Amino acid sequence: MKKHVKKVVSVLTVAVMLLSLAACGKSDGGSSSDNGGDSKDKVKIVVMPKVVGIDYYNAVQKGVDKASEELSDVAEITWQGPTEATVDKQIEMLETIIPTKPDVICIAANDPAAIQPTLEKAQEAGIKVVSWDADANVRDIFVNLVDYTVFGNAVIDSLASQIGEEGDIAIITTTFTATNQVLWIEAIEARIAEKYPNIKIVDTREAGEDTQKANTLASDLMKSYPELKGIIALGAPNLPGAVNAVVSAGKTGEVIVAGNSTPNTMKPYLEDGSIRDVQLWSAPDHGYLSVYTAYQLATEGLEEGKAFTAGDMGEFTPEKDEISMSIGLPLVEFTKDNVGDYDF
Amino acid sequence: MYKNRKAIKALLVFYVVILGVMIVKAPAFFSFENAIDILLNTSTTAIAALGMLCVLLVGDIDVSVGAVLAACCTMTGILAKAQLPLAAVIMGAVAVGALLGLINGVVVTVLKLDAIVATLGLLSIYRGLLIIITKGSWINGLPENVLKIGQGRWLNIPIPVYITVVVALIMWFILNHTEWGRNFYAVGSNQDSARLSGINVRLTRIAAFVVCGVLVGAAAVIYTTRFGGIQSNTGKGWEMTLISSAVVGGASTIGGEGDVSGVFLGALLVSALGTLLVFFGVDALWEQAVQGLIIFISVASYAVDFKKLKLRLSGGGEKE
Repeated sequence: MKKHVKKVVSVLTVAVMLLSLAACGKSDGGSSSDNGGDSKDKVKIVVMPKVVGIDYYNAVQKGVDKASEELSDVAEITWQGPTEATVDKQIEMLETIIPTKPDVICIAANDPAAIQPTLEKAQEAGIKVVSWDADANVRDIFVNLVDYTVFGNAVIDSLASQIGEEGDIAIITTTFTATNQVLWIEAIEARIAEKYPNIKIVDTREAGEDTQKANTLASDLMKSYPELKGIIALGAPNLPGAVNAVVSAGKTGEVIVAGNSTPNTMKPYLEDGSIRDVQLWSAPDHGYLSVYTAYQLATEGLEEGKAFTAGDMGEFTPEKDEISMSIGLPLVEFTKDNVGDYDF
Repeated sequence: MYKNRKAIKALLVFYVVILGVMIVKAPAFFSFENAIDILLNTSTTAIAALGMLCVLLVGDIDVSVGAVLAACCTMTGILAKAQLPLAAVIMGAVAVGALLGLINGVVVTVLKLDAIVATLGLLSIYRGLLIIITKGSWINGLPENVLKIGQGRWLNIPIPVYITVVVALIMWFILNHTEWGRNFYAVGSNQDSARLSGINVRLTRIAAFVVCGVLVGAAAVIYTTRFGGIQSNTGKGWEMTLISSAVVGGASTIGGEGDVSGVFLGALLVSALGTLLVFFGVDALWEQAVQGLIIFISVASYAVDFKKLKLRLSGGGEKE
């Protein structure tokens, strides 16, 4: 009897494991926008995110779809990515994509170094490589997020304008080691030194990516620095935590919060006026711009300092960087008036 | 008998020292509001750490708690968004916790797998399944009726603080005054003699995992409703917070030792550490190291047998 139970349980456990594996495998081929027609002379572009199926990349995919529709007569665009954000899944997929000889692969690499040999192989096969979102060590061009300095400046400018350009402020960051955080904070500090002599950063703390931790930190900071005028919360999960702390302390309007997060998360706070604006970029625009960049690269080519038009987003000029060249997304400021236009 | 009096004594001394330093360095720390905030921030950790205590008592460990928290939070979010009444939302979250706790217990005891390895594996299975279910998206915009739990106050004290006190009292009663509770200690102290005295060891161990799951489910309701949003990576690394809370509070990782008051004090120390360091003005770069050091000192202060150590250092220990 007991043995029987043991067997059933182990069979069940194995079944659950297999099911979860199968579920991973099935959605692996999540591809879209195959517009049919004669595909021989069309430019073939593959766009690969870090992972498929999460809100953020679903929003990116909308931009990819839009560009793919606009270019449907001249290009064939495939959206394909792993269901787990791991580099080995991406390598596996690329290995099956390379023999099909697309013209361009756009990749958001889960690991810039580990994916290098595979991307070199693609280039040897005559495929052009665009990195987007997260850079790779090998690529013809990088479609970056918003330039770090532009972004840092926008965050501190928003805060400064709301606190009358003076007073003590604190920063809540994700970790002291994340590249984007380090460069954003550097930009904020440089901007303060240059433009806002009366603003002083009294403390900088890390909250990881944890709303509860950010909430606790914000309320601790307000109590231990009673004169605090503003809090900058960087990292999408941290901003709602900080805003929440200010609201529950009854200090809305007295302590101003600024930072970056996603429109869906911040919508209630923007609408009830707990925060005036939130800085980020548009996820669909990232997909849209990546496709147009890839198309330009495959047709007329891209050159440093030479502007090209990316559909209705206007002109972009590639600039030289350490590996090859790059362009950056424009900044988007979410307010109560435009937050409803975005869904991610 | 099972209480780790040494640990509780050490913790209390520790509290007196810390509070003494704070009164000189940061008097702003001592306000009613701050005390309430600290209790509020401790609530989820304290409730779940009591669940971890049960698992530790029977000599097992559960490192899947972070994923169980994420699963229960997701259930809370889904049910709340479906406009279900509050009671159904709570029941749903707790049921998910109980179910996952049951799976943990059965896998560990029936398949006779090492608890740390089994729950580590289950941790990643739960996380994987959760990503498939939620597609990694965040759940936002929960209705007002459930937010009352996390954000509401009664007599100016947040609801989660009351929940924590009630849970602690129930757990204290179960562990000290029921046969069920005494069985936890008996199984953890010596499985063979527990079996000989007629205790169903396997069932007791499974029960401990289920209690842990249920309490994580209760913590999840508070966790979700405090901010009205759930991230897909909720609870990452939470097992360390819970295990250190329990161990600082005098629970033994080999079983049979630990009690409610100790674990409560441990959870309070572990979750208030961040706040202490902000008030104390410790440079944030040092925060992690200082946090680790304080936990280390507080455990060492009761775990190290100073008499023996002195004997060994003076060369007298060789005779042993």
